[in-house]
Amino acid sequence: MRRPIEAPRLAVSVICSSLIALAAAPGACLAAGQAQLPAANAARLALDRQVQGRAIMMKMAQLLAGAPHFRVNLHMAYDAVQQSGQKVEFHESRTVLVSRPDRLRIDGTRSDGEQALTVFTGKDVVLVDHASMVYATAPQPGTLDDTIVYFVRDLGMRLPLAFMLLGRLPAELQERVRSVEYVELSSIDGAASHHIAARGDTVDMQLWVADGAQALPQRVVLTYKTAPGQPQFRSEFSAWDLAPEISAAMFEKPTPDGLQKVAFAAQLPRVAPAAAASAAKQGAR
Amino acid sequence: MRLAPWSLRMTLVAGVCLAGLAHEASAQLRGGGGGGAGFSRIGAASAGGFSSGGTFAQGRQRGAGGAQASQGQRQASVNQSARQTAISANQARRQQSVNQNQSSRQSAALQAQDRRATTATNIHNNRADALSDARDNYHGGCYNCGRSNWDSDAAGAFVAGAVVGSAVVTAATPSTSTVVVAAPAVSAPPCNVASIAVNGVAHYYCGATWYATAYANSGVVYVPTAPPPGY
Repeated sequence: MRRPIEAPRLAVSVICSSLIALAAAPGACLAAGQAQLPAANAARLALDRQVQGRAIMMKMAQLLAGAPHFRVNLHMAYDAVQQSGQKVEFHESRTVLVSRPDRLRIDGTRSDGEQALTVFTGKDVVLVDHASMVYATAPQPGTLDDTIVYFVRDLGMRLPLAFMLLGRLPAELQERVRSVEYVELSSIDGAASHHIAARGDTVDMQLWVADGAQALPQRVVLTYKTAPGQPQFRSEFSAWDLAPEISAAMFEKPTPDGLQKVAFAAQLPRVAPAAAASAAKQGAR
Repeated sequence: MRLAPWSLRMTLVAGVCLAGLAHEASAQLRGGGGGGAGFSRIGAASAGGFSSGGTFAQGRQRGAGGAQASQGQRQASVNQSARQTAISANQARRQQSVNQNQSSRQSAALQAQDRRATTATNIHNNRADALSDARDNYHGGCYNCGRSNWDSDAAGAFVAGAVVGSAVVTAATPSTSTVVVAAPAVSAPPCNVASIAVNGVAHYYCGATWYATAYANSGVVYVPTAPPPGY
């Protein structure tokens, strides 16, 4: 017959044996513990940085998308990779005035001094190129979001950072950003800004967002990682105004005196060389 | 001093060539695609979009199935949308007509009920129409932008001087997908002739081809086009 004291004795024995075993191999136990703890901490920190980065990016997106009007100055630079592989940087300044639901005005000046004006009047899309002394117009298809996509994709016109002007910017980022990570709190022109690194399928984006309630973008860098030479587009944002003075005149259809009217190239019916030649012969008869 | 006739002819030919080169150089400088000293301003990063077609700067060749094919797909999508809207509108009109005929055949006591039914039918049809339009034109609340690369440099780019070897749907094609191979646009008038204004747009007749002045993302280009009406 076993005595009742047997079980506690057995337990004490097991514990003592374990302690002896631990004492005999302390290095193995500690090494395993040390390896697991930092790994877990690192994973948790990485997750925190991802959550923090995405939250700041989305806060910025919701602020911009929800603003009925805003004005901002953009100082842009981008790499143009030449056929030789050489990268050449060009600059451009733009003042962007947005008035939702359907108005936009962009005054731009290139680094060579050439100026252009783009206006979405609510009824028409108008582009005036003062340097080439021409202007082009097309009917506006709808809201600002519709027209921005139409202008960039269907008319094939340049509108850098067009996605940031969309009312559906939050959805656009959710759809196209594959991962986000918080980099650090840094300073842009003396203002505390959150540096965020996001990755898309073909473009990586770095974003600096102002700290505080007004989470407005201060700087953006886009890296075209699948393009030859991996060129970058960089832009700094300044003079943000979420309540600019708006007048109807700002979005009136410009009357470019002395400028030649041209069509948007994407709208012209194009012909094959052979078809062009035969059509021309028929026309000449 | 008298110049020999052959010398005079050579001088004239050289003069014409130099004038042509100067005109070309001037056009290159004025064109939006040309940067300083012949460097191109256009490339993947110049678009500033959040997607990329992964292309070199202006002057590149574009393979078949590239941006122009995408343009064709967009055109087809627009055409499909237009057809779908027309079908829905016709259905709505037929339904309304049927309801009205039925209403006229019934007694006065039932007319009020018919009117309510017609109104309900119209509302239903209008909703169906609107839904059809929305499905055709909006993907996630955005005009035809279900694709996530609508702002790619290759999405709608029209590149002057590029060798376009892909299929193109003509912009004037109303509903059928007539496919032609487009002649390349050029960045300067290919010959020195006076322009002819057609609907306010300058056209040039060079050799056997008509060119229309147009605006692309690289600046002013001259696009081979069909002869204007009457020419």
